[in-house]
Amino acid sequence: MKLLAECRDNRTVLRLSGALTAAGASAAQRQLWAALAAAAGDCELDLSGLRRIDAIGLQLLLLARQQALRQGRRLHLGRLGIAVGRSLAPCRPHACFAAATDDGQAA
Amino acid sequence: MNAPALPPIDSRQRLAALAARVQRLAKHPGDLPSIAIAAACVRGLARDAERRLGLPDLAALAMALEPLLLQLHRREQRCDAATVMLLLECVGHMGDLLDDGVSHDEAERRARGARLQGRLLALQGRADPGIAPPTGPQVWRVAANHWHLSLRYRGRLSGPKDDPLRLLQVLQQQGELRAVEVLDDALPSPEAFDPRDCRLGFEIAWAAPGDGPAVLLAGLGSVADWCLLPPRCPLTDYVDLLRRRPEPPTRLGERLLACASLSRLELDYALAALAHPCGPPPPSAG
Repeated sequence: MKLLAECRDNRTVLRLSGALTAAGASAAQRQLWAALAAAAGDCELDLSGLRRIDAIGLQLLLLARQQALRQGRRLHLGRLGIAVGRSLAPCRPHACFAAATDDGQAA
Repeated sequence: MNAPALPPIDSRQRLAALAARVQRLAKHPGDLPSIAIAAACVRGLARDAERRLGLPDLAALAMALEPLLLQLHRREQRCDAATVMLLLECVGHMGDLLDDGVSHDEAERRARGARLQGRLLALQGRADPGIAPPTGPQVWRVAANHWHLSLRYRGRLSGPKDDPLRLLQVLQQQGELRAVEVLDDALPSPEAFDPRDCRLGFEIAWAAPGDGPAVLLAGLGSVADWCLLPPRCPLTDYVDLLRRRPEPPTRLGERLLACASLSRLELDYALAALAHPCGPPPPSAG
């Protein structure tokens, strides 16, 4: 997985590309955490360049959301590519992210 | 049975108000305003059912319920957990009767109504010889007509075939995936966690024919704790699920609501049964 961070309007867009799967989970986690630590303000995940994702990848994104909340910021889910959108569709990823964010705030 | 006239909105409003008041009683037993309002709602429902809707079973149940509420209001009865649970069951059954279609079996529905009336009268000390007392085990079945699959992954997946997203695709191909709720409650802090381990949970509502689901899921045993509840299973199965899962029951209950696997009333009953384990065995409906 490759990650590119871009600051835009007081938020940081994290563009992910490649594959976000169990095989590269440890490296992906390190990149995500480093990007979150360096980010300014709230963050948005742009997955439109991601070719493949599995459940470990989804879990990593949910963990990143928790990590962002611990840092006092929000992590939103932005655009999805076609393949990733198809893989995640049954989970309603945007609703899942929004609900999780609400839970985190409530806690 | 001929379909009755569509109930006017005020009957449903009365039932909703009654349900809200009974649910309040579950939290505040003996709350007199709630009992008074519930009694008024029941009286109105009995009148509607008899005069306008042509639902004699609903009228009979409402007429058996009202005196109990009056006794509660006069403090002649204790408003304990068992009583509140009986009230909740009655409200649930009234909802079924108004919907006229939740129960698949007319005889079963009548028997359930008769059992409820028998229990109401027995509680009031007015045994009615015309109403058979409950016999044998009684079961309150949930209204949901889909399978409910509860999954908790517990560590390393042995390969792509174990991937939950792949499982969801298979479920989608072999049936109708009605709702999926993803739970990330069990994720440990990132520092103490190998990101290759899967700790996600899923609550899934799935409509599929036959016994196929159990066969489909048999291979999951090594990577996930799973629980499969069939359509219209006993509500006690959901009580067990709420008890066994690590999440707080109210939080998990909201997910079951989101899946439409439990109605609000069924969830309230299940939570009450969990909170009062020494109460009567969960319930009794058809």
